[in-house]
Amino acid sequence: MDLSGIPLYWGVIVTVILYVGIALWAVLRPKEYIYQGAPNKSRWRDLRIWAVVLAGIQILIHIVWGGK
Amino acid sequence: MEFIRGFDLAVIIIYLATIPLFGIFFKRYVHSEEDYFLAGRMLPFWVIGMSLIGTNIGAYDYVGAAGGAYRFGLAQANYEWLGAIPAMILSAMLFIPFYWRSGAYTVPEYLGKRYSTAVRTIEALLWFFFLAAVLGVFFWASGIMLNTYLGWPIGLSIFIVAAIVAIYTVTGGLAAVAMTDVVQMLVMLVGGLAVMIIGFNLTGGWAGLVNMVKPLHPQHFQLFQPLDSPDFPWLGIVLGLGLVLSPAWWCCHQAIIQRTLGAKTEWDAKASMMGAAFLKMLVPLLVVLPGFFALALCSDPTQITNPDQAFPWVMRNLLPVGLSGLVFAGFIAALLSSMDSTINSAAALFTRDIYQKFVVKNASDKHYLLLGRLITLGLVGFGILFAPITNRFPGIYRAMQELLTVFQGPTFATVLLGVAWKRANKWGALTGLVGGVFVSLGLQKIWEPMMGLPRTGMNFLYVAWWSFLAALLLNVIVSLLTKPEPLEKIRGLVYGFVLEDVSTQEALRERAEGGK
Repeated sequence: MDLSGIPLYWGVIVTVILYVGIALWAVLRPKEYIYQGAPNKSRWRDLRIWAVVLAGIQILIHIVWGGK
Repeated sequence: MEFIRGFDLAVIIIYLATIPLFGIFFKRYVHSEEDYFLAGRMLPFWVIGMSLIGTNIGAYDYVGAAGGAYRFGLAQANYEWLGAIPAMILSAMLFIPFYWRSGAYTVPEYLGKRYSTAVRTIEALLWFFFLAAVLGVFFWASGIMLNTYLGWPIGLSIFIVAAIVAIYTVTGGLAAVAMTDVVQMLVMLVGGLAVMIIGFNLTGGWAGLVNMVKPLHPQHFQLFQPLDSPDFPWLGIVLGLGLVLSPAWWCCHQAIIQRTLGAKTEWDAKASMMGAAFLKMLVPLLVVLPGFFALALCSDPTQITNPDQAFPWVMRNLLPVGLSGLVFAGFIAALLSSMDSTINSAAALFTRDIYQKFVVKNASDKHYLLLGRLITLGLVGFGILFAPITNRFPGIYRAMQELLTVFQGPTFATVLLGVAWKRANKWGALTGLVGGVFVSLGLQKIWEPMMGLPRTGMNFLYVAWWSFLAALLLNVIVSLLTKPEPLEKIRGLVYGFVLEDVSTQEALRERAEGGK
């Protein structure tokens, strides 16, 4: 099976789906699980937000430089 | 190629003399095995986060990644982005809480609680021998580096670096390792930013760099390469690196996980990995951009006949006096921070999973502390002796990847099913782990370069994927054909239980307090 003809943007699509999936999975984690052990429940300590920001930046990077 | 002298040399010597003193300071906090291997579980998330990246970036990254960027372009950054960030999020949100709650010191120890002593021991031995072998790679790299830049003999260079690392790793344990990593990370960042600013200044910013490089190397500004690319086929990057090698590194690598277990709270443990992910996104600026600068600014191709000369060329031709010393100190920092973590983790594996399990059980804390220190010292000696052997591999960076690939896929499959699937049992884990390693060895034919034969093995990215899949399938099939684990045994060690059963929290606490 010759796969060499598959365009590079498929790599970008797969990667974006991967990041969206991870961000969604992270957002759906229960609050108690995320804050377990934290001294308080400040918004900045919500690791789900950290995950979404990380995934968002990576999606942007791959859209710009992934390849066409 | 010796070109660091005078003021630069003074900066380097001051740095080399300061790091062990800084590490020795933390000896006063080490009174027990937990203090030595887990820094007394007192580390805040930002220290661990910086230490994680310090451990992750080695000197081989500077040379190898800049060389990779010189040859392949932005595709080299896949190791820092797709090959890290998703796995780090997964590690923080799924794996780390289980390791942390189980009270384990090592990843194999968790596997011992979840599956069996056999799985624990195989994993511990695989990791121990791998980390010991990697030490040889690190020591050899340090010898080559100091020989190239300072003109010091390779043997003497290895001995000096080994002595520095041994002093603070043996005395201060994980606390010294983590705190010196923070300093080393800062030195690396400052040095890397200096190279970036000077490089962009000379090329006319990012747009200027693109204009200089793109006409001759149009594919250098895309992360993905075609499927027929021998080094970065995009499917191999996504499947092998993104879905297997990278999660295996960030979720199962003892040197990585051990420092998160030193966190003062579960939140700190998780946040340390997430914070490290933000830093990780900046790493291409330190290790990939220099390759681009060499490509754009070196007009005489005879000056860079091997891509690995790209970074040395940048240092020699772009940096002013004083700054070369600082960047070189960052270079050494990268090496030391990877080396110290490897030594400390290998010592933890041997002490906890081999010595404490099979040789001397239930001895005093002082006994295990002393043994940990002796093993640490022994590992340094082994690294020095093993260093010349690593030179038989075609490239230092490649050797690292190939050694890892042999068991990374099967290890990740075993840990993943252990954490995520209640039905996975000890027989499935054992079959999957051993079978996966054999699949990996068969596909990669790692013995060929060692015996001087031409390479016929599969690209390591695909090897990782297939060995992972083989281990996963074997584990599932054998687990379904054999008896499930008793619920009491796996309570608190599998993800579903924590979310659906409040009383598991109590079980987790008891397990953690139960110790070894």
